Amino acid sequence: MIQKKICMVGAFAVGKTSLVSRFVDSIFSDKYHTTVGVKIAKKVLEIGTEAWHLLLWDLAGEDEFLQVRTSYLCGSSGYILVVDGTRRATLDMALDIQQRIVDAVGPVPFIILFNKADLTQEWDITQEACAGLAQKGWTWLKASAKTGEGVEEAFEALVAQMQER
Amino acid sequence: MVDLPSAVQAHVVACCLATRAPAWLLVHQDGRFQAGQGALERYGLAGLQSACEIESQVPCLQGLWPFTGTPCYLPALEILTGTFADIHLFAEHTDVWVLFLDATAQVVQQRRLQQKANEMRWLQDHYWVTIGQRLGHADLQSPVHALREALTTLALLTQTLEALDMVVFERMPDGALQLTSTAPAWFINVCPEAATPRDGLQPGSVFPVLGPFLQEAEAFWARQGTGRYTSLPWSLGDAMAQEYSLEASALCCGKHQLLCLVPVPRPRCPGVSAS
Repeated sequence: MIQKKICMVGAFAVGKTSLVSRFVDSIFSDKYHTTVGVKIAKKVLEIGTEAWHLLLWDLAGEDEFLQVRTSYLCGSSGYILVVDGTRRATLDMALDIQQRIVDAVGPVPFIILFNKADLTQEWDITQEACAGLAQKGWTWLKASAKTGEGVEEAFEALVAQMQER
Repeated sequence: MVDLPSAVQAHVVACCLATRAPAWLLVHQDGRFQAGQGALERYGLAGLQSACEIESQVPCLQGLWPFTGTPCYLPALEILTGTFADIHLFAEHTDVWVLFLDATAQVVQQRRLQQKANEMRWLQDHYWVTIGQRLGHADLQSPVHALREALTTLALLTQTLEALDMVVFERMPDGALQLTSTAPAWFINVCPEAATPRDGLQPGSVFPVLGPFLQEAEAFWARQGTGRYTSLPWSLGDAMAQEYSLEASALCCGKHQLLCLVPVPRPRCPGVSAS
């Protein structure tokens, strides 16, 4: 059995828990519930002929009082840096978190996921910012926990990176 | 051990036992479970099989084996629905102790505070963005500074209109005209009700001679005309028999449709002029 730990990290209220709920249970709620500590969910993803048992660690979001605790990343096979596409500052925060993770646990596969892709009118991420990520060789994708668009694809993209290692 | 009297040590241990429900596992550093005791059931850890891999039996310990030897602290993990634990891992020789301490009460309290703080911060972020959009700042770093600048500009504009003796009305979506500037002395002299402005004050009623011009102004506003559309001057007197020569102009400022009234020294030709 292939069992892997994946962490969801990012600023507060970017939609980490909503993405996990959409991916695992196919549900979405507009109501915001803050996450304290870590919630762990499970999902089996069929990749080709293999069943990947994913343990999804949904970490509390970072804010001005609380930094992401990198010890949670110990033993993880990959992580998703979640960004709120309507709040540019959450991209800066995600990049800062990514650097701290590298310092603490070394290079681990990750993708950047711009959530809230359904809110096109309020989109706050420039093409230049995305081009900058691509130049670094990083994978970034858009998704909407609300509509489900791009959610499964994001996890599949991360697992594909994990397979390459 | 810290130099504490035995009674104090016993009290600390008793408090921890009473409030934190400790449970421990002993795991070989290669990841095989050896033994466990304490409040195992609280964390769903009862019935673990000896000599079997711990990570297949306790998912939250996935990926930590073989253990590196560096102590690891994982606070506030939701082990079972509604049950949170602080997990400590530390090595002793070739074994690893895994200590579970109940953290549910602390998490519940922290969640209340964090929920409120995050909601307020989220609202503040959106409030800043909205103000920035209204003020034309794409990247508003300090809404207070931007608001102060906007209010200064507004005060300057008000003073300029007063200095020009200009009265400004804005056309509302229902077609009514609403006074948006302060009323200069000449306007109050010819229209005393302007001293206490109210929504019903309509230039067409105060100055019936403006009727045909206002019809043309409607067409100008409807086509989002550029420059300004100006009336012929007209004269009228106030209660003190003072004579005024006035001029009206229609103009569009972005989405706003404005009517300006101003005294003029001499008659001018009607028509569109560059603003």
